[in-house]
Amino acid sequence: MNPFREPALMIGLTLGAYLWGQQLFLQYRKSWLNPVLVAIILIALVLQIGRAKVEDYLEATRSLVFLLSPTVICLALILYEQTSALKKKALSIVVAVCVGGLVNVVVGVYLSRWLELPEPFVQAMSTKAVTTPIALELSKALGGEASLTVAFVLLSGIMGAVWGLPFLRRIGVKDEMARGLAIGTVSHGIGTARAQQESDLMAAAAALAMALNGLFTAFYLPYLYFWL
Amino acid sequence: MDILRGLFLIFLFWALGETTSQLARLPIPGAVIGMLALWVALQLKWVSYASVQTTAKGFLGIMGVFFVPPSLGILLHAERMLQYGWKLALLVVFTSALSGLTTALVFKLLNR
Repeated sequence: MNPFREPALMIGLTLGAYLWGQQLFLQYRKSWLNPVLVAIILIALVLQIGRAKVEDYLEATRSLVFLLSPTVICLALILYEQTSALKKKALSIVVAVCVGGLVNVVVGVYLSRWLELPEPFVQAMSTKAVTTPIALELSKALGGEASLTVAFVLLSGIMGAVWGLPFLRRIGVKDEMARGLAIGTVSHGIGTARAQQESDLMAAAAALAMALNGLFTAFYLPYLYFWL
Repeated sequence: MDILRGLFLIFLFWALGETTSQLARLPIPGAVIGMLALWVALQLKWVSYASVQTTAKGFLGIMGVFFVPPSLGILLHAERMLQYGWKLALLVVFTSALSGLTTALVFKLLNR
């Protein structure tokens, strides 16, 4: 028996590692003790020690990842709770998220070309801020590499979730909604999960920013990319 | 009972979003369309808040865990990414910081 192919074991390991990460965060309240990050490091170590194939682990945990989609649907609840707060600032929310998302794409593409990164990396850089399923669709449209695209999405998600809020605080952005919008625009679902640890308003702003930036990018990127 | 009704509604909206996405050949994933549709349905009181609350709060509370396995997929590209190590790290950090800052500042500027 290869334990790394057993769904029960691998899902159990994932849940346990995340639970531990969450307890560490609740105990010490340090941003870098993000439960997603803690779980990833722990599981990577286990896979390394057991000389396991990452592919086996990914296959074994598919049914857990399946639950991400219904969770995205559930974000509607947070949006609903904060509708009146969001409605009041609707226009500035849309503009801020779209401009922020556009900056990420344009600067990312130009800089990665300037640093002479290979084309698949440039493409992955352009879709890294949108939620995984949208990034996958865009990657198809741009002729990119699917799994590299996902790697970049998750990388920017984790980085933003871990360092986004401390960075904004240091630079003097204290407004809850502004912080939520920023973390949702840059770090999509992982950022939204992080925002939930702060407040309902921040979580709602993050969820809305994730949806808006995803929608907006999905519509313009296939055209814009070939212009850049 | 509460959990079952919530699950039913959540999957119903997911299915709705998925069908819309595929029939209209939209680049937007079904789950995102479903989320927006459920938001509208809650606003219009077609779906009551109480009927989805218990289940939805349960899912949302553990949202982060669903990102863990896909994130380990990064390891598949570790070697290639390390080849461009510092350039990539710098780029991701810089563009993300710039984008987040722009979003926050534009928002604050428009709300002065």
